[in-house]
Amino acid sequence: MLRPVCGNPMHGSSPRRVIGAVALTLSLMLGAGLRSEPEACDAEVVVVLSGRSDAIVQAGEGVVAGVPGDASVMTLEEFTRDCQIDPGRTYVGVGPSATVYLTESAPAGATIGACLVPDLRSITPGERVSLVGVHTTVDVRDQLDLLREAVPSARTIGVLHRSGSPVSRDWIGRLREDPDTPSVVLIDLDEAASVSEAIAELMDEDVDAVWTFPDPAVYDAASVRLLLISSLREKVPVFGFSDGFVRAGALVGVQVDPASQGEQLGALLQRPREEGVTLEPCRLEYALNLVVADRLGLRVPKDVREAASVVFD
Amino acid sequence: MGPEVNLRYETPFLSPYIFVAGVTLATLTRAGTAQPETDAPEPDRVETAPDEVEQLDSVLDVLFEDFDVVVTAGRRAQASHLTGVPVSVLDAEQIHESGVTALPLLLDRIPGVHVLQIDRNRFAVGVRGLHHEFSDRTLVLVDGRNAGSGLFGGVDFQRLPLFLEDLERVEVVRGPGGAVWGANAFNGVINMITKDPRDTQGVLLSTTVNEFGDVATQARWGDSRDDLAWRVSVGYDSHESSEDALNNDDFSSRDFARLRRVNAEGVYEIDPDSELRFGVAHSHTERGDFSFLGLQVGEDERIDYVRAFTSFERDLGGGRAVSLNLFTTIEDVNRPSMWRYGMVDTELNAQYETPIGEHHETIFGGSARFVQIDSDPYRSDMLLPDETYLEEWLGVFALDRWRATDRLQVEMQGRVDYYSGTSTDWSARLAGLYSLDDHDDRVIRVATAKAFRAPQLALREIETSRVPLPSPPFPPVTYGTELFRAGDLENEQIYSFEAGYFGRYEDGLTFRADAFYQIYQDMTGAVIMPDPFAAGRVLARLDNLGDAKSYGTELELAVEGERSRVGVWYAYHGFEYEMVTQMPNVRAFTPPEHSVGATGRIDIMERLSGSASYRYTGVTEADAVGTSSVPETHRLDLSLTWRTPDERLELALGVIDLFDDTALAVDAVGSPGGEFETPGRAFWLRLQAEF
Repeated sequence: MLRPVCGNPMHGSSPRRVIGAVALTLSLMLGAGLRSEPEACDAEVVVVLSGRSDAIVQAGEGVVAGVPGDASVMTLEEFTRDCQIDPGRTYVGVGPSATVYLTESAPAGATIGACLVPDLRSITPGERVSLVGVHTTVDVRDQLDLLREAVPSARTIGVLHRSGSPVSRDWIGRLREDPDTPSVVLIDLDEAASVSEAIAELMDEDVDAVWTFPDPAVYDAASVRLLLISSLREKVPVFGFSDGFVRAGALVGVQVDPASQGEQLGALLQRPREEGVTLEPCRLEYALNLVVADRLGLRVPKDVREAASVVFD
Repeated sequence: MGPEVNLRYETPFLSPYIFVAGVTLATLTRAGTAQPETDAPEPDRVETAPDEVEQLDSVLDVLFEDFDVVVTAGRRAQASHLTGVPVSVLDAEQIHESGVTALPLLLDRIPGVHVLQIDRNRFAVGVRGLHHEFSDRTLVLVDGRNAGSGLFGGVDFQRLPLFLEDLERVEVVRGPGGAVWGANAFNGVINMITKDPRDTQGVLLSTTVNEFGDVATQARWGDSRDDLAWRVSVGYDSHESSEDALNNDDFSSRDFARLRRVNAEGVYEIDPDSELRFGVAHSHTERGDFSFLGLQVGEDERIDYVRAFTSFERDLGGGRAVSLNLFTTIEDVNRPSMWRYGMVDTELNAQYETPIGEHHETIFGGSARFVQIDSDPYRSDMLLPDETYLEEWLGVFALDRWRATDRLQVEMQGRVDYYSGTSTDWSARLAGLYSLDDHDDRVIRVATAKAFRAPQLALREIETSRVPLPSPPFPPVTYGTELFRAGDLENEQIYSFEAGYFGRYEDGLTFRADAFYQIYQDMTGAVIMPDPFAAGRVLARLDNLGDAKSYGTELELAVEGERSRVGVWYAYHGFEYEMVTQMPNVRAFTPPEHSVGATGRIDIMERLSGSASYRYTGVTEADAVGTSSVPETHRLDLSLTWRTPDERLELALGVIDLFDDTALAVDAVGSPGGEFETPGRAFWLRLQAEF
């Protein structure tokens, strides 16, 4: 059974999120000045953004909405310019750059929160520094459970990867670790003449579905296009690693909601915890493309349709 | 909420790098910052290398990538911003929510497309200007199949047996597209792509009525059995005449229309690798005639139009695919002030797509088209002699996309066409696309292209003598308008030099800028000859008049959010004749120098959405086609759409041309002697059910 799904980010905004957004906006406006307000460095929770991309900002808003007390938001550039890390406060890194900086700069006794880092396990804090984080990506097992629920006939799954890519190696390692993994056909792009050849080879293996993971060495606009076109031609559903992938033509896929992950981290920071690393899986939310289901001639079970965060139809 | 876990992880794939060079990032990011003094012992640090941070960033980027993969600009699906020629798209949602019932009124929402409404039934549509009711300098396609007339090359949009609700999207290519599509893909290409029958299952009933009593209705049924899916659409449209619509007793008009249409399409999946598509459509149009070359007979026009197609596609694996496409258009046309003819126009085309080596995606193909026209001039002053004409077109093409490096793509296209009416000619396009980043989010394009326009039968053969003058004072058999048969016409040529930039930024923002310089050679137009009686008679003959050049830029900015999307654009087009004739008349309007557009859509509430479209069109020079220059216009369209909770019933209302500004333009370009007054502002209401 799928885990409960939190609110659809496409609809509505909670008051806390609105307040968080206002606070974030004001913070960024102040931060845009020649010098940021010194009070921003003294908030109970200081949220440090790796950049100003939509996802990063939304996650920052989520953290502000998720923590009860005084919180400030600034970019990494502003933080390094104006602030010093005080072990008595909590610092949250949003995105890889800010998180890496905070964990590597934190003195003993400091607490660092982290979200929107694709692989938090790659971040190792120093001695006596607490790292509290929410995984950005969903566990392989949960993804495969979702795939099996959406496409019950999926017995054999195909996977594209690059043996030379550390990201691919990590995901394939996790796939192999899962004892419930179905039969898997791996196609190595590094050994194929071209991406199109690799996809053709994958389809020739009579796989029931294709599972994907976010490795930029494997997936870009061109390879996604080729895979989705083949998927429709061969009637093989694709499990996408993002809602953008599902919008483009994958049948179903995980949805990464930055605001929701920020809120989850905010709540996690309030809980009592031990020193060390505390990591929590992100909530499973997913997108479903019923237009693609029709094209593939698939009937998606009702409970899967109803629990989807985003449905493209 | 998932279970909480407390784990101390090792770094699984970063460990070989962790002890190397990690200090750099922290040093750089902390440069100039005094670090706090602390009593706590400095912890042992295990730092992350900058390369690994970049890698994590790139994974994050791909997680939030908005994959845009559905556009056909080169006979294959391509990302819209990675085409060798600029492409803009109107999608089904924009088409549906606009509320307009005539496709040309939608097309002017696209930058670089110029549309003038001539009366309630007729439009001049062109990409980058040179538009005219019979314009054949912009190629119009339906699902990649030529929709241009076998007689005059242009498209009468009203007679196409298409339904706007059946359109998946409309793609507009700006610039010469002859290397892909052949003759007359001159200034640009408009490709109307219909929905797959598998995506239109169930029943749809839709009717739109406006304040003048114009009605557009459609009933559609789609179903499937095993590997076969189909849909059938039938519809009836009725347009009142300007006289009736406006209740105006000061003039009489004959611009009414009654349209009956049926369109059936199916797709059969032969096996997992092969598909057969087929369809047949018919339209019957009855409408008032109009004044052409000084003659308005006063009899209704009657046009029957049948279009049938079948196409076969097979995926051969390994990136290889083959397709065959056969389609036929049959027309029975009676336009009393112009001509009466029957036509059978058949085309067969085929293409084979294959990768060559590791970095080339290549398509080879060809086409053969045969047109038979039987003219029946039951009046002596009609335009075409009583003859049967046979014409052949043959073309071969090769298209290649070469991924030269991770960031550089080169598109090479070439095509040779034989046309029995003129000569063999060629088209080509060479484009380079360079990505400024690893994800093709910022792409620079440089291109050059050549295409041609072949003067079709109507241009070469029409002749007429009309408006007989009294004798005396004139000698016997003297006419007020005499159009003499053209001599041997050469193909028009166009050469273009283009540069463009596409950028996709954060917050759903995209920006596109395209600039071009185009050289026209041997443009065909009317040579106005002196009247020996100096009585103001119109004596003309079509010929190659000379050259011209055009230049300009189109800028597009679009923002898409969760509940809204907004697009704004600006286009500048300059056009200069380089001809020696006394009055350049190339049967077309020159593009307005400035045009601006803005479109927006927002989900106001859960089941209520609104859309708006504004278009400013600068002064259009009528180029001796109409009576005067067309004044600038501001057109604002608004619509609101409400759906029931189950989304089966929809009520929409809106207004076209809120400022009531376009009627002036119509008045300026209408046929001399015709009487009509097209309503500008029109409120409309649509009721639609789908189940």
